[in-house]
Amino acid sequence: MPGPIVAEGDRVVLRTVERDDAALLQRSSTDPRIRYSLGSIHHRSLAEQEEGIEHWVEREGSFVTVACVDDEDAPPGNPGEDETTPIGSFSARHVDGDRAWLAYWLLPEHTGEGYGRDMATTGIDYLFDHFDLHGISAGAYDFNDASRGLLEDMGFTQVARRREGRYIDGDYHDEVQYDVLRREWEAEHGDGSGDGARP
Amino acid sequence: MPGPILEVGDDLVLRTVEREDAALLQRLFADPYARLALHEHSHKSEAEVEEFVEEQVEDDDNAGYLACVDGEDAPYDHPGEDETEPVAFVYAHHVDRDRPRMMLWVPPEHRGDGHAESALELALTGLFRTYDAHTVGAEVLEGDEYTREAFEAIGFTDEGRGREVRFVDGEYRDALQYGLLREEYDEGGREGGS
Repeated sequence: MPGPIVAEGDRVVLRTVERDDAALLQRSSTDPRIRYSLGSIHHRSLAEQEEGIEHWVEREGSFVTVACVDDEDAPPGNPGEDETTPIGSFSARHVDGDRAWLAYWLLPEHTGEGYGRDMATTGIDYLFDHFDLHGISAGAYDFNDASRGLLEDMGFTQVARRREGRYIDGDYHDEVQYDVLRREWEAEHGDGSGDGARP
Repeated sequence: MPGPILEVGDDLVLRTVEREDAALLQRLFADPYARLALHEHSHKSEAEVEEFVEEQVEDDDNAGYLACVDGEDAPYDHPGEDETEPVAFVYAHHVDRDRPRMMLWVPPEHRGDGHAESALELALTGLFRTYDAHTVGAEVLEGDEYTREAFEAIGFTDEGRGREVRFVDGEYRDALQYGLLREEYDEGGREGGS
């Protein structure tokens, strides 16, 4: 089970990844409804995913969380089995530098309920509040309408299109890049200082 | 000194990077634009650059070349001290993937020589002959006009820019993205591109 709450959104909370969450994260490299749009070339075994938690998730400079929908009485600390529902993951690499790169995904059974935007804005607010980032970048393949729509909706700007940069899902696809600068994010979403700054 | 010849062009040859070339490459890491193209943030000692050669340049997932001006009798084999002059370093990161990332560094004393384009072209020849890359990318920081012009001159397409990505020389600068598809390179009718 995921651990304590790191950041709290309207309906979604971001909790720490614990080592027994490997089976959940493994879905992002296996489930065909997730892995192609995320760009997971290699599918992973559970053991590989467990190693991934130690080597990537727990590494300095990585910010990796499990997105959860809590029951009413779920504690801010470690929740019990039936107190929270993991719905996906929000993560960023290189949060210790000027520029972080985002990755996020939802389990297919939890899409279409508006959780994606809540998860992403909650995560990005947290990143700008707690790390000295100048901007945040994200990429999406040309066919990934859901992710591109969300990035644009949150105020990211499309800045580059790496033509046919990746062979994925049976063909070469463009990698579309987006970014948002701190001053742009804070102008649109508030600067996060104090409680209740989140729109 | 650089090692044996890998590719032969009109004015230049590509030779292998040897560990003793660390002293030359160390100067690359003193240039913030060049080292950031390698995603390295600080200068390095010669010993650290030797490690870079051993762990990065010699890794099968990457390819590094020293473009050299050879003397008339320079051999395909290891050249002597006064038989060749390295004038550019070209490096491709992740040649095992669909889109290797290419970087170029020319020592400042050779920047007026007009070798940058030939060096890049010859490295592309070697790259596309050897690896099944679908396209080649390059990231050039705003302000590094010399490198930008070299990539543009040989036909790389401007694919956009990450905004204010790197702090260099007192300000946040954009990272310009360039790409060249194999089919575009072939259409250019370049040597070895068929």
